[in-house]
Amino acid sequence: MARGDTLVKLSRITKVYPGVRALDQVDFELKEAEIHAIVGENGAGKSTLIKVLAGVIRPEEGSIEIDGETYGYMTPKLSREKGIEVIYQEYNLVPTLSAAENICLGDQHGRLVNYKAMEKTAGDIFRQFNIEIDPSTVVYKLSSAQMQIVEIAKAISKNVRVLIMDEPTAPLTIREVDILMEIINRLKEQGVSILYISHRLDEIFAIADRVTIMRDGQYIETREIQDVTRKELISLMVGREINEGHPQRETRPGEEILRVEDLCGNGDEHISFSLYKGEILGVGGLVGCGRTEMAMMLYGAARIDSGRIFLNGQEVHIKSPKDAIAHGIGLIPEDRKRQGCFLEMSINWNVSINNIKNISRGTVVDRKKEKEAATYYRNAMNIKTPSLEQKVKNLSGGNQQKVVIAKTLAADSDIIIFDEPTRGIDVNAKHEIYLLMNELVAQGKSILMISSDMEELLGMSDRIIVLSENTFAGELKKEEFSQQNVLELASGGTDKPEWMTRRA
Amino acid sequence: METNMKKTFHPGEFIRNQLMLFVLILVIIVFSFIANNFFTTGNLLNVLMQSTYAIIIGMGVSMIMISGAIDLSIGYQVSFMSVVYAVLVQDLGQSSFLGILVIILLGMLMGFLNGFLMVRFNVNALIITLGTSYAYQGLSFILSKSRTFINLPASVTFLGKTYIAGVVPLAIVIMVIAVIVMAFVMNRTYFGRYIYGVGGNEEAIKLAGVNVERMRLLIYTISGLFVGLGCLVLIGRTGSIYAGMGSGLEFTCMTAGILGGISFRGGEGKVTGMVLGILLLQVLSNGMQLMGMGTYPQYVVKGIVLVAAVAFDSMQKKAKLKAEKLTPSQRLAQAEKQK
Ligand SMILES: Nc1ncnc2c1ncn2[C@@H]1O[C@H](COP(=O)(O)OP(=O)(O)OP(=O)(O)O)[C@@H](O)[C@H]1O
Ligand SMILES: [Mg+2]
Repeated sequence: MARGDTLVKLSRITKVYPGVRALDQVDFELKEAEIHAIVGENGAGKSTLIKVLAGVIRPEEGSIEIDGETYGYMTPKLSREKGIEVIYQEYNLVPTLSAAENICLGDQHGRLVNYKAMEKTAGDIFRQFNIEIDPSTVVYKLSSAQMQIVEIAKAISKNVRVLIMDEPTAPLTIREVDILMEIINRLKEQGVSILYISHRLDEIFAIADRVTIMRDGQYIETREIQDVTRKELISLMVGREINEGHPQRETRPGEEILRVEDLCGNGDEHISFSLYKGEILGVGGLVGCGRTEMAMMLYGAARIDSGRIFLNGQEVHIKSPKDAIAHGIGLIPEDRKRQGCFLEMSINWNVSINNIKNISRGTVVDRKKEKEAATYYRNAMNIKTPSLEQKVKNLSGGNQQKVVIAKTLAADSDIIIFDEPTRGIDVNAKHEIYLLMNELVAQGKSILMISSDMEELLGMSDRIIVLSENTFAGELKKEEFSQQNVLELASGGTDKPEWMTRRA
Repeated sequence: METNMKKTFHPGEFIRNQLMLFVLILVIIVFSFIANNFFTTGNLLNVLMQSTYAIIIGMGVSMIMISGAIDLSIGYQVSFMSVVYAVLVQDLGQSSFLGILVIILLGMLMGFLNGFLMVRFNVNALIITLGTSYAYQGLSFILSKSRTFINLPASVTFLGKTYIAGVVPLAIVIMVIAVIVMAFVMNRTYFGRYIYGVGGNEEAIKLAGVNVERMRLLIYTISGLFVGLGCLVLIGRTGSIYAGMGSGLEFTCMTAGILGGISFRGGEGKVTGMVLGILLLQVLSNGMQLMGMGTYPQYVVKGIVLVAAVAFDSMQKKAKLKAEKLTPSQRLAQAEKQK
């Protein structure tokens, strides 16, 4: 086969869940050695489509054509035999095994476990892409970006022909995304086809050869990337023209509400800053720079070794999330699966749990109030679901994230810490969430917004503080905002995070 | 939007959700045909009576299982508190009322202790309760000197023996109240939500401001209260006390829980599932008894039922996949159709 030939062809694929047509007669075609992006709103069916290709779910209708053969459905084994490897939206590494063991999981190196061979395989791949990760490191000690690299290495080690990536850059910062792009381009040169799902449209314009647009489970169309503009792409995705970007705020920050003095603990050191009433304070930095660790201390979920916290001028001691909530602090956590939502429970249940005492009469939950709150956020953030009784695990990734946000906002805190709030959320819903944030600050609430999304950080913040290597690196005023300035502070002068470049 | 999306009725899904109820009814029908004297008011009431103490204790067990924990010591907790009662009353001549109070308090104390050890030393519930179970077993035999106590005072057996207005057994009334209270607590109160939260995602419920350690202490202590209550009903039913009397109770309850859809993963299931599970187990053993099956063949059947239940539990998760499975010929036909 040659470059440009069709490698995989899906025809009229349909997949129905109770109350939803996740895929409705979808056609899709992937060519040899192309980078093919799929875009669409949250719940459009992107992840479902690739799960069909990977054989983890079976469509009700349709066929899959690969290597001249036609199948009604794939199985995981068949899919792997055909050289299809998937990096899913949620991590799939075994946290207690080493990078090398994860990469070689499922392979056989003789009868016994051969650590030497595994580490060599892993090391070779890392070297090939100029990555400095010790293959014997246990995975849970790696940063999310490093884990992402390990996932890719795992796929590459399997003789991959089609590499599918479902929102691979969601946990990455801009520098790390660059590295990833390099790897992807290199794979393409080696003849691998890449299927790339992302809500970050810049990436798609930077890297894709073609893009397929999906909406409400339906195939809309496929375009060469040079034949489509960003605006067109969005309107194809959403089905109408929408406002993109960052809505302006009329309000100005007021008096100081939170002051943090020389905070140390949870791996962080000497962090000081203030937050004002009605302000959005952005927190920039590279992955692993200690931002989440700081948030956890402020929220009482991690121990503070030293330093002082003042709320409205009064010193407070926050020892548990309960204390934090009592002081009017809320947190939207970074990791939605682990810290954010209750997958087995309904949307109603999730949205109300942080605020459950207030929507109870005595000890009895007021289900009418509960439903009102959930309905409000469903409309405000456009949560796509057939019913509010739907279990959260049945929602698409982006819609799960919206539930996590709703859950914290429903608790009506004065200070809200957003940790990577719009991870995995589509352009349209992002805009809705920005409007919601503006409304919150207009009500006099304050927001501490940790974000790896540079546009969001620069576009939404009133001020930005930057952390670097677990300590305070500097502050930027609105007139000093630029990607350059943030990155300079974040990397403390060096160009790339050290683990990504091999030491000479 | 919500309103114009009418809920459609899926018979398959309904049966899957209510499967245990259907199985129970099916088993009752089958036994009615093959076992003599099974389908009589007297026997069915008997089955119900035999289920009462396990269901009461099962309320505590389901709460613990839903919180993602386990208590292996419940059986010997029952033995130990019964023996303490017997020794207090019959050996030491204390009043029976003091003894009853001690049973209830001991239940809560032993529950609390399990929770405390688990939280304090941050050790898995399985290991802690395995340990306490051995300890209570040993203590029960030491204290009782392997005797069986009979001729118990009416004040302790009344829960198992009394009939309200001569017809309605008090034990059943207590059981029904226990189930209603627990169902209400678990489904309607925020305390119940927290229990599901602890089992469903401990990390997330912590971030929701819940003190998980305190919740665990509370859950085990309340469970102990049910154990004490169930123990009183059991004593009333059997009219005797000996060191092995509670042995295996925790497994009966956990089997029933799994049968009723409460998984060991935590965060899932309903207390009413526990009720159905216990009833099913009791119906099975009663029916087999009436058919004249020996104790050991009964064990075999119960073992099979347990394994089937666990398999069912995991299969249910894959049910969707299974439902979509096509045979190779169907697959071919489908591929043909596309051409
Ligand atoms: N197991 C399931 N049960 C019920 N509905 C499901 C299930 N899995 C997916 N869905 C529904 O199918 C639709 C498509 O979901 P999918 O995960 O493919 O969306 P997506 O395009 O990947 O969205 P996102 O950008 O948010 O990741 C959604 O409406 C989702 O709620
Ligand atoms: Mg998805």
